[in-house]
Amino acid sequence: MEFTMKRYLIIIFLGSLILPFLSCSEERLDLNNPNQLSEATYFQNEAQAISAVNAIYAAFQTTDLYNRRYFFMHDLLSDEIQGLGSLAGEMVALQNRSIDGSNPVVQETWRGFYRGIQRANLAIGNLPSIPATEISEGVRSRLIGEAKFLRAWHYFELVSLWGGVPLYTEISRTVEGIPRATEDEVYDLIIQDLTDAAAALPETYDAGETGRATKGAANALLGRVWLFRAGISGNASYYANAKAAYEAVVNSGTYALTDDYFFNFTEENEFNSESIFEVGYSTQWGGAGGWASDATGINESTFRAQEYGFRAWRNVVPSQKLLAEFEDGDPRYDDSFFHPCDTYNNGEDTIYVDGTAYPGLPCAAPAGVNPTIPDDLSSWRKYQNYHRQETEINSQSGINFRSLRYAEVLLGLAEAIAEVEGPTPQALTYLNSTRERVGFTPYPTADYPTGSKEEFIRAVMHERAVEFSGEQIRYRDLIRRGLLVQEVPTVTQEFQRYLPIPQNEIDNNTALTNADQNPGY
Amino acid sequence: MAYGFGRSFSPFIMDGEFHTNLIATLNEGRSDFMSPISTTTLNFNRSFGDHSLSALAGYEVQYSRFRNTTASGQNDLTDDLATLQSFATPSIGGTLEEDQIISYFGRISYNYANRYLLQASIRRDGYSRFGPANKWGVFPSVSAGWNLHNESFMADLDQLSTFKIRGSYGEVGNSQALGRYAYQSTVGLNNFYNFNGNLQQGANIRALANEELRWETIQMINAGFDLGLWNDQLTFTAEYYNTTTSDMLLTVNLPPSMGYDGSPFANTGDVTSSGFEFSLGYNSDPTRDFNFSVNANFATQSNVVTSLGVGNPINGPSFEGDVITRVDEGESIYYFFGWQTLGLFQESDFTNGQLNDGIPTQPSAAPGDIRFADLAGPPDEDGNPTEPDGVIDVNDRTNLGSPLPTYIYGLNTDLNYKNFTLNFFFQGQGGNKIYNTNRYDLEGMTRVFNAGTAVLDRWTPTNTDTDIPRGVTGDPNRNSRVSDRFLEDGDFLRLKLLRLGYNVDVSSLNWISRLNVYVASQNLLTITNYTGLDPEIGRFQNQTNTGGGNAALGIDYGQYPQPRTFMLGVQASF
Repeated sequence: MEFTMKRYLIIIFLGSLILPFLSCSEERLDLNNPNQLSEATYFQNEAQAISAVNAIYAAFQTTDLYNRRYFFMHDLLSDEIQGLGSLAGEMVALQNRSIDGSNPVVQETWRGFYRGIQRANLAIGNLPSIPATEISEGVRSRLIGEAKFLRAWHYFELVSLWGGVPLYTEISRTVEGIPRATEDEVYDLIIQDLTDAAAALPETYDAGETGRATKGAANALLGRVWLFRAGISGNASYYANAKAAYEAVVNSGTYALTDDYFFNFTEENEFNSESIFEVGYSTQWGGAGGWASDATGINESTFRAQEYGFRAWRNVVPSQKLLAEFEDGDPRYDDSFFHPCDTYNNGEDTIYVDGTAYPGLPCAAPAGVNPTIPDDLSSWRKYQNYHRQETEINSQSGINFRSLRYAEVLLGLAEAIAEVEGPTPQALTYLNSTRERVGFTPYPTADYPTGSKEEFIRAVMHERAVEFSGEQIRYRDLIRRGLLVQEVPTVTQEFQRYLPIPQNEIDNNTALTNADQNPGY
Repeated sequence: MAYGFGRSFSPFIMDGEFHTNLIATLNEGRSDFMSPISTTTLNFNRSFGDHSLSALAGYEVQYSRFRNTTASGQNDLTDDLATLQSFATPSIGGTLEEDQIISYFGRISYNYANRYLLQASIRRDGYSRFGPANKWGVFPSVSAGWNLHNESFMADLDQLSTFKIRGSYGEVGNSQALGRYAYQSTVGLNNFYNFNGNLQQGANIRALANEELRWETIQMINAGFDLGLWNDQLTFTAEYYNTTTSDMLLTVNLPPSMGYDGSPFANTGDVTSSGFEFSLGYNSDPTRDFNFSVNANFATQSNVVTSLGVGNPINGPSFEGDVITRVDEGESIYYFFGWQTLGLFQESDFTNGQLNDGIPTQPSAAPGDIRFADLAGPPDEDGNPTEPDGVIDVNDRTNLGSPLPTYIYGLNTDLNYKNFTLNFFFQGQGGNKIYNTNRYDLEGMTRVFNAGTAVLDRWTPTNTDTDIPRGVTGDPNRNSRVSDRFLEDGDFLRLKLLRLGYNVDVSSLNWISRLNVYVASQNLLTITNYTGLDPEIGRFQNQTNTGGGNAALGIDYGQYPQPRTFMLGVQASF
C-alpha cells in the first residue's frame, strides 16, 4: 500500500513538471518565431530604418555583382578585355555572344540587381510609416533618398542591358510574377527616383557615414542615365537634361580631379576628391564569405584582383584593341596596365618572361626563377594591389570600386554641351580636363581634331575609352553611340545590343512565356 | 529529451601563399531538446455472441522545444590554449525553436466471428507550422477485411491456412519538410556593409512568406489479398495501391526579379502514384539439419501530376544555368527536363560553314558539336506548344525521364545447415534516371583544364566516330547544357548484405548460451551500367545550391557513395 502511494506521488510530481507544456488550448498553435523579427514589428525606429537601407548597399557585395560577376559582365561585353585559357566557359560564351537565357553570368547579374531592388523596395515601403516620434524627418527623407538612388542604380543596369523589365516598386507578397514594363516606364521610375534622391540627399556625410549616396551621386547617375537614353532614343533634347544634371554636380563645387590618376584605383586613396560614389570593400574583415552569392554575412572583399591579377588567376588581360587605343605618351597607359619587364611591389620585383620564348624582351627570368607570366601580354594594373605588394593575398581585395567619379561628370558634360550647343570652348575645356590632369597634350590633336561636332564626339569617345578602361563604362558607351557592331568583333547583329532575359526568370515568372524573350534569342 | 555538446577547433595553418589560416578558431555548442507528449484515451470493448465491437476516443498534445547555445572564439597568438576562456574575441549565439501539435481522434472497430472486419476512424490535427487560418485538418479513414479461410464453405480446403481479402481508404495529413515559422515573413539582420571602414549592420527579408500554408493531404486506396498455405509455410500477398497527394507542399522557385533568396513552400497541386506490390515467402521445417527461408518482393510504381495549383511548371534545381528537374501537369513528378541529343555533327552536315538545308538551325554549331532535336516551336498565345520550327532553342526542352524507379525488388534468404548460417539480401530497382553532374566537369570541356580521360576520345576531324563532342573553349554550342548527354539509367542490382556464420557449440558451458562467429560484407556486389560512383545516390543536402528537397532527387552532385564494408564478428549471448 505504502509502495503504491509513493508511486502515485511520483507520477503526479513528474506530470506536474510537463503539464504546463501540454495544455489543450488551441491558441498554443499560434507560435511566433522567437529568433527573428517580423516585418510587422520591425521598422519602428531610426536605427532599424538605417539597417534597412544598409542592407541595400550590402546587396552590391555578392558574387552576382561587385564581388565577381558585375565587372566581368561589362568588361566581357565590351571590347576592353581578352579572355585567357583559364577563363570559365560561361564567361567565354558571354564574350563570344554564344549565349541564351541559360548563361549563368546573365542569370546571376540579373538576380543581383533585383536583390538590390527588393531591399530598396522594402525600405521605401516601410520607412514612411515609422512614427515621427521615433525618427527625425531629416534622417527619414535622407534614407528614402538613399534607397531611391540605389533602386535607380539597379534599374538603370537592367533597362540599359535588357530593355524593358518587370518593374517592382514594392516587395512581392505573392508567388505570381509580373510582366515586362516598357523601357520608357522603367526610365520614368529611374528619373523620378534620382530627382527625388537629389532633392533629399546631402552633399557630404560625417566621418563614419562616408560612402552613403549623396546629392552629387544622384545627379551624376542622372546625367549618365540621360546621356544613355539620349543615345538610344535618338531624342536629342535628352542631352539638355544630361547637361543640367552634370552641371548641378560641377556647380556644387564639391568635387575635383585628383592630382594622380592612379589614386582612383587604389585602396590607399579611397573617397578622394574625385570620388562621387564608391562600392566599399576592405580586407579588414578577411576574405570570409567572398563567394557568398546572397549577400548574407560579412562579404567585404572582392575577387576583382584575384580574377584579373597577373600574379593570381589572370583570367583576363586588356585586349590588344584597348592597348592600341592609347596614344603614344599617354601617362594613363602605364597607370592602367602592367607590361612585361615592369617592376612591381614598390619596385622590388620585375615581371619576368620566358627568355627562350621571348628573346626580344630584356627581362628573361634568371636561372632557377619561373617566368612571372607565361606570355608577353600586358595585364591589368587598375584595381590591383601589386604596386605595393608581391602577390594577391587570400583571393581578397579591399579596393573600393569608384562606381561614379568626377572625371565621368566632366567628360559627360563636355559631350552634352557639344550635343546641345556644338563644340564650344567651354565643352573643349571640360574635355581637356582629364588630359590636363595627367599632363598630356590637349585636344585638338592631329589624330583627334575637335572642330566639328562629329569630330568632337569622336574625341570624347576616345577620351572616355582611355580614361575609363576597365571601369564598366565602355559597354554602354558603345551601345548608346550605336558602335557595338562596328567595335566589338563578336557582335554581328543589332539584336545583340540586348541581353537575353534569363531563362529562369521566364520559367518561374507566371506572367512571362518564351514569347517575352528579347528578339533574336 | 536529449542533450548535445559539440566542439571544433581549427589551428593556425601556414602552408604557402594560397592556404593560410592566421587565426585559430574554437567553436563550442550545447543543445537541449524536450518533447513532452500527453495522450488521453477512452476505450470501449464489448462482445456479444459472434459480434465484437471496440471504440476509442482521445486527444493528444505534443510540444517540442529545441534550444541551442553556441560560443566561438578566435586567437591569433597561440594554438596551445583551446578553451574559450583563453580566446580573445569570444562571440555567442543561440536559438530557440518550438513546435506544437494537438490531435483529436476516434476509432470504431467491428468484427463478426473473425470473418468480417470493419474499422472506421477520424482525426483532427492542428499543427503550429501552418498558416494562421489553416492550422487544422480533418482526416477520415475506413477499412474492411474478409477472412475467407474462416468461412464454412472453405473448411474442406485443409492446406489453405490463410485467405484474406482486404481493402481500405484513408487520409492522412502531411507537413513534409515544412520549416517552423515558414508562414511568417522574418527580418534577417545578417547583412553588413562598410562605410569607409565603419561596418554597419543591415536588415532585410530574404524569403517570401506564405501565409496560406495548409496541410498536405494524402489519400490512400489499398486493395489486396493474403494467402497462406500449409500453416503459412508458404505465404503470398498481392496488393494494389493508389495514393493521391493533394495540396502538395513543394518549394516553389520564384522568378529572380522578386529579389528573394529563399524558395518558399506552397500548397501546389495533386500527384497520384499507383502500382502493385507482391511478396512471396517460404519457410522450410526449422527442425531439420538443413532449413531455409526465402522472402521475395516486387513492387511497381507509376506517378503522374494531375493538377498544378500555380500557373507555371515548378522548376527544381538549376545546374550551370539550366533547370534540371521540373513538376508539370500530366508528367511524372520531378522529371528531368532538357534537350534531346541526336549524336554529333560531322563535316558533311555543313556547307561553307552553314548547316545544310533541312537541318534545324542551331546557332554557333560546328562539326563535332552535339546535334539537338527540334521538338517544338514557340508557344502559341495560350501557352501551348507548337510544331517544330526548325530552330533549336529553349522550346525544344522535353521530358527526358524520371528520377523515380518504375519497379523495385528484393530477395532475402537465410540458409542454415547444422551450425552454419548463410544470409544474403539482394536489392534492386529499375526504370529511373540519374543526372550525373560530375561528367559536366570531367567531360564538359568548358574550361581547358581538369578534364577526365573520356575527352581523349573527343571528336576531331580525324576522330569522327565518337560520341564525345569537340573540345572548344567557351562551349559555344552549349554541348554541356542539361540534356540526355549526362543522363544515365539508374538501374541496379546490389548484394546489400552477405553474411556467413557459425554457431559454436557451447552446450557444455553454463555461463554462455550462444556464440556465433561470422564474416559479413555490405554492398559487396553491384550490377549497374551507371558510370558514377554509386547508383544508390542519396539526396544532396546542400539546400541553397539545389533549390532543395525532393526536387534534387536523382541528381548526382558527387554525393558520398554507400561504403562497401567487410566485417568479422563474434556475437555472444550470456
